[in-house]
Amino acid sequence: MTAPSDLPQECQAVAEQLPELALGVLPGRERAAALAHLDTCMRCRAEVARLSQAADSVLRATPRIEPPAGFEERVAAEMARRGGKRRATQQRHQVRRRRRVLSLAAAAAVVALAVPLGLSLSESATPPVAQADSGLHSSAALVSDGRVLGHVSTFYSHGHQPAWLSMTLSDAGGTGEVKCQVLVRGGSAVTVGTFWIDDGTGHWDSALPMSPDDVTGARVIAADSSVLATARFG
Amino acid sequence: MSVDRSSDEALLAGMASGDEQAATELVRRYQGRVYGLAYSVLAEPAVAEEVAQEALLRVWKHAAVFDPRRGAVSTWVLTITRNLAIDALRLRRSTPVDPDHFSNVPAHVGERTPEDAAMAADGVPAVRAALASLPDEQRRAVVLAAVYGKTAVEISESERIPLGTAKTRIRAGLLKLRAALVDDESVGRWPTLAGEGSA
Repeated sequence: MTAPSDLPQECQAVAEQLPELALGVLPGRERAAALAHLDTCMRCRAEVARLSQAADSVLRATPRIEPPAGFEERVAAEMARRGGKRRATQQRHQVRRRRRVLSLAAAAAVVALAVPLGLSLSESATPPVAQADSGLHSSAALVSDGRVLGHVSTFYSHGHQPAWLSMTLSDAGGTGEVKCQVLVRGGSAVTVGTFWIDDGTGHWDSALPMSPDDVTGARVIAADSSVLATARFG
Repeated sequence: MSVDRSSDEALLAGMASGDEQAATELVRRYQGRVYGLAYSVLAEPAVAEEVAQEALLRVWKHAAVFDPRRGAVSTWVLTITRNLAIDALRLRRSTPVDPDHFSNVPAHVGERTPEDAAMAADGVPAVRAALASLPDEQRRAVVLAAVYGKTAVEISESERIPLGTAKTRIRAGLLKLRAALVDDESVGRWPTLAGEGSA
């Protein structure tokens, strides 16, 4: 094992953080600094790879405990329910996209303007990819009038994958499209996308267009522009 | 199609393409470990069940984007579960649980099932033995970080040790764990990295 004092000076600053980086628990700013160093240092990348293999193996030691009776059936039923909802949402989006294309095409014909269609018709951010090897950055309850309606979490990601946000509403009431906004340092709110809730329930993941270190909270906006729920990260 | 002996990767691919039989088999194969991990972190049966169900639904939802080059299916599934369990733990601000519970619970609780064979094939006995071989204080530090998502600062507070000691325990524990597993074929191929000795 190489002692930190034997390392080049630029490696010494991050050497003691590499185990936590491999375990996915290194806090925000230190993590950003460590990753910046890894981009240029093969030695430290190898050390993280070595530690990550061990870190990943720990979860495999998880004991198997039989879940309560009926668990498998409940998971299957929920898959069927969400599968049907997902198909319905996709169909709604397709219809909406077609309508938008038609209306924009009509407008373009009337005013004879060169509309930058690629920009105007782009959908909200591509549904994000679940990065299982990404670590939790922050998590908070989505609250309205003291009632918890769901929760939101932000996650780091490894490599070149962006950070992402995961939002779940379980008791928001109503059915329809809602807007997800993140609150960033300085007080501004940035809309990162829209998602569908059905009978107050919905789940949505999105790539974050900024560092999770800059996100101070999140909120859900209803179709009438009212704030459904707000979360503040500690 | 007979799926009961399919690889995890094949089941996941089937799940991604809408094959209900593959989805059912993958859930059956992992439900005990997913619930076991959620319960280990949360120590509350009802919350653990909620987290375990959501974890398996996330696996189903994102099955198409699993990249086998980045690791085993088991690591992916259990990491999703761990992240959700930690999320729930922080949300509820539950009393911290003892990391020794994770290591001391037998590998399987309840009747033996075909899932036990899958766990053996996944190198679970070797990993558990390697974890058990670590000095107690290193094992606690590694489990607190890897399973419960604790930072070195949080570990130093909960274990009442200096921060430097917490960091040293985590690093030493991980390196010993790796040294114990690197030559064990049941845990998969772990190529020796440049600069790594045989120890």
